[in-house]
Amino acid sequence: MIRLEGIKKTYRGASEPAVKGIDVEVPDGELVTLLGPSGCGKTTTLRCIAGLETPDEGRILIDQRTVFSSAERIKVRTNQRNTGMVFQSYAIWPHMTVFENVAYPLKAGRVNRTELHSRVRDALELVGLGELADRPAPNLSGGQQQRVALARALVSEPKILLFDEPLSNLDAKLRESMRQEIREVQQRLGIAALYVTHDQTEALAISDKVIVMSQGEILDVGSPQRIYERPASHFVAQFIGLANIFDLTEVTESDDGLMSGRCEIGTIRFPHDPAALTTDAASLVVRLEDVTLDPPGSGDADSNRWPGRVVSALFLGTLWDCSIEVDGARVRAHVPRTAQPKAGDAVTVSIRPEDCVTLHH
Amino acid sequence: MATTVPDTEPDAVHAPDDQREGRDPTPRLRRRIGFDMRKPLFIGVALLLVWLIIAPIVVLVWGSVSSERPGADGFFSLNSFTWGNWSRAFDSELWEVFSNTAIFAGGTTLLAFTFGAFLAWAVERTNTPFRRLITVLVLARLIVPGILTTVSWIFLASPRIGMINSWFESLFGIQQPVVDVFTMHGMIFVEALDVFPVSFLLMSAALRSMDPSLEEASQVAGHGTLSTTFRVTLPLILPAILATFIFLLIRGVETFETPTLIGLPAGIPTFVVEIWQRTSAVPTDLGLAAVYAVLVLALAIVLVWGYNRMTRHTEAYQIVSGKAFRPKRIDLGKARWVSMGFAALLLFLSIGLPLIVLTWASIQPPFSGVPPLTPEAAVQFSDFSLENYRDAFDSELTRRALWNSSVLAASSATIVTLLMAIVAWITVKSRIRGRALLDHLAFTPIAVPAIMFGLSVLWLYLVLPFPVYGTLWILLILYVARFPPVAFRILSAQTTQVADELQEAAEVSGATWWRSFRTVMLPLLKPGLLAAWIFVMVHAFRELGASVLVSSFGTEVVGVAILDLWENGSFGLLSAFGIVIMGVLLAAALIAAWLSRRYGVEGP
Repeated sequence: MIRLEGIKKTYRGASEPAVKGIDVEVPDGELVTLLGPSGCGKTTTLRCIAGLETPDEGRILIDQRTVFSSAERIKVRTNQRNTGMVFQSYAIWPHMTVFENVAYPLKAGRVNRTELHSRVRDALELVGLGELADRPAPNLSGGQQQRVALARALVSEPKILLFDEPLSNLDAKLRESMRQEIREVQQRLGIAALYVTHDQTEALAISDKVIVMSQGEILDVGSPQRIYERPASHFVAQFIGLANIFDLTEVTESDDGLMSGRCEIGTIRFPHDPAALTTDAASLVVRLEDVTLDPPGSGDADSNRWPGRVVSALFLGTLWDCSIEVDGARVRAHVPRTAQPKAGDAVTVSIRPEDCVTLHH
Repeated sequence: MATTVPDTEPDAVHAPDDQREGRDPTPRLRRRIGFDMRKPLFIGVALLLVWLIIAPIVVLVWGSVSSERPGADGFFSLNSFTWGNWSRAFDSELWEVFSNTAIFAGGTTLLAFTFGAFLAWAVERTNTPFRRLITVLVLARLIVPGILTTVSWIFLASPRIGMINSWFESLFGIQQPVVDVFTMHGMIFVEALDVFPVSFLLMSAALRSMDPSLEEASQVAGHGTLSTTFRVTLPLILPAILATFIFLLIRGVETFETPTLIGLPAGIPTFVVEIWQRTSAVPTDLGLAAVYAVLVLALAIVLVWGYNRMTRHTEAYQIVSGKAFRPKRIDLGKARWVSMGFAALLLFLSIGLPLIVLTWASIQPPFSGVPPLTPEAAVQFSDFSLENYRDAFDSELTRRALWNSSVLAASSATIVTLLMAIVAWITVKSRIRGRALLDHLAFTPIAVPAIMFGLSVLWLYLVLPFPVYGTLWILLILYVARFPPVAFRILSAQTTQVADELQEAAEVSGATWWRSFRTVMLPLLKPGLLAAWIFVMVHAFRELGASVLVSSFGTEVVGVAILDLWENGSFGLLSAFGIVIMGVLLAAALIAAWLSRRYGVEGP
């Protein structure tokens, strides 16, 4: 278990704090991601947990043990925190073999020879590198180095695992298979893991819980599905997935239990949300895959419908990424591969009311 | 030094349950990875460097305004304060000494730069034949003690006994000496032959690290070779050129061998000769020597200030270009034989002729006085003997000197290298407040001329009750204080190359800072450690300018022994010893070259 309470960190010479007093909790057996753009403070937070940075304020607990507390003036050194960490650059020591790299954490703990050998073998087996133990570390591919880094982080049976953008240096294919492996290993060991990434797809795929950060603050915490479907703010909606965001005006309650309002592309109906009546700056989020295109004059009668014209259609393999002009404004839509839209086509744009999510500021 | 530090320091960790109440609630925990040995180590290293480098200078500066001799009872008493030494200095022939020093250092710099820069360009940028051989020979030249160059050129070009003059006399009947080394020109020429490998080294490093695509871009943009050279190549290496100039100037100001062996008899006093004379020739005038030393220091500080600015700049350029490139070579056509011929001539003058004349002198019968190096003698083989070589191996002095220099070179190289690895780590990787101080301290010795270093260390241990005077320890202290700057530069550049995450990974893996430094940092620094070690070793082995004042009977080093032999007129023994030394150094150079290739080091 990892718990952060009111962690605040300002780098020397910086005017703004890098982390502005955040609280984070990672229960055992869960993998939690810190997601945000670069410079949002996520890596600083992770490094504070490892002891590589010292917060100005707050408290950090690892497995019920206080490893940092500004109030109690406690600070446990990095090498005494019993954490496993995977670095962005892997940080595989080039002057050692694979075996020596993985054995390194055990040598600090005075483990006897036979146990050391069997534990290093086990760790290498776990990441599927049993064969490569005697290789010099530089003779490995990026993916293999990543596995060595993972084995090294696991070998001392740490209480927690920390990942600092571990997959960002790998190519897209390898990234997908590695994130599955990391997830499986973490689940098998059942320990708390905190995972830093700026890649929202990765965050959604791998986590039990996602924490979205921006400018040193936490903007949203929740399951990947919740964060994607009901983002807490404008920033979260834009940062995670692709979305149309419409600004609402003249919101009224309509008879069918829905609400209706005016936005850039015309009148739109959406699920009942009393808060939208009272705030003057509410907006609606509609995911691109929830926008459908039909031939002019057709479409689902219960949906919001507008006539439009396709401005551009880019083929992305699994789908088409379309930009449609509606009443002088733009709507983006992801439509199925089979739809075959073309620039210049006249279409009907449909959005089901239940796919509209309200945001208020 | 730091090897005695234990692997763990339990008291440095705040135990998790440790409640520390009643303290300032805001923590002052600002180091990278908590409390450990880094801060004590920083303080220890800083104190050591202050002690080694600053303390002697302070004593010397005080000596320049004290009426008492160092070691006398009233030396540190404020009552001994006087401007007498300074006014005596300004009454004496100060201006002549200054202008001699300036002309000598300036002339040497220009000539050595021309030689070295041309060779560097020919080797790195043209298709001159035998480039590798030229490089190896120039670098081998770097390690030959300067005093051997000076002595052999006196044998070659003195007006009375010089080999060149006697050949001209016997072959062409020219009675007047054709060449005379005992002039300012002679001094400049000899010194330039000794230091040009330094400018070769600095300039070829600069030329090598330049990204050829910068020049290619200029050519694609429509500029020819000449225009590209002036508009792109020269501006890019200008900082390196200026830095080389200043480095050579400092060398010219502090060099001992040529000014003493040639300048003194020729009646051309420079600062170094004046300091040497005031401290070792009766009547001594230590106060005046101190004033001269402080003046030289001031001069050197001005130069170093410039050097520092230049090289900081150079490093910024190097970071841009980064790795070793394979630049396009200029096809010189037939002219490539001219450039090769020039290189051959330079190497002949700086290695070939000295080797010939020393060999010649060494096979004369012992105690035959000035060796008769005439063409007539060259055909009479009957008189030759190897007795000087037997003496060189038998003589207490030469054996002791060789042993002392070897021990001192190896131990000072090891200590300086490890110390500078720690200093480099602290200045490059740590966030300890005041780390810039170490940077300055490690660089200070470059501004302290050799003879002044010798004088000040000698005085410090005359004043203080440490029984190191007259032992090898004082020389070791001297060398450890004198050689940090270049070792520091090499190691801090190397340390910068090691990613922070590599050491952080070790600490997350449970290693203490010291263990992570030992098991991760030091192995990754290996090429830099080796380069720094070789650099210090070579310079310590050939050191004379500072040792000459500090070494005494029983602790002679190679340079001092050769100086002794010179002053005794044992030219044959001196030459045989010189040849032996060159043999030893050549062997060492070959081993070093082999090691470097194995560990992938670009020459020191």
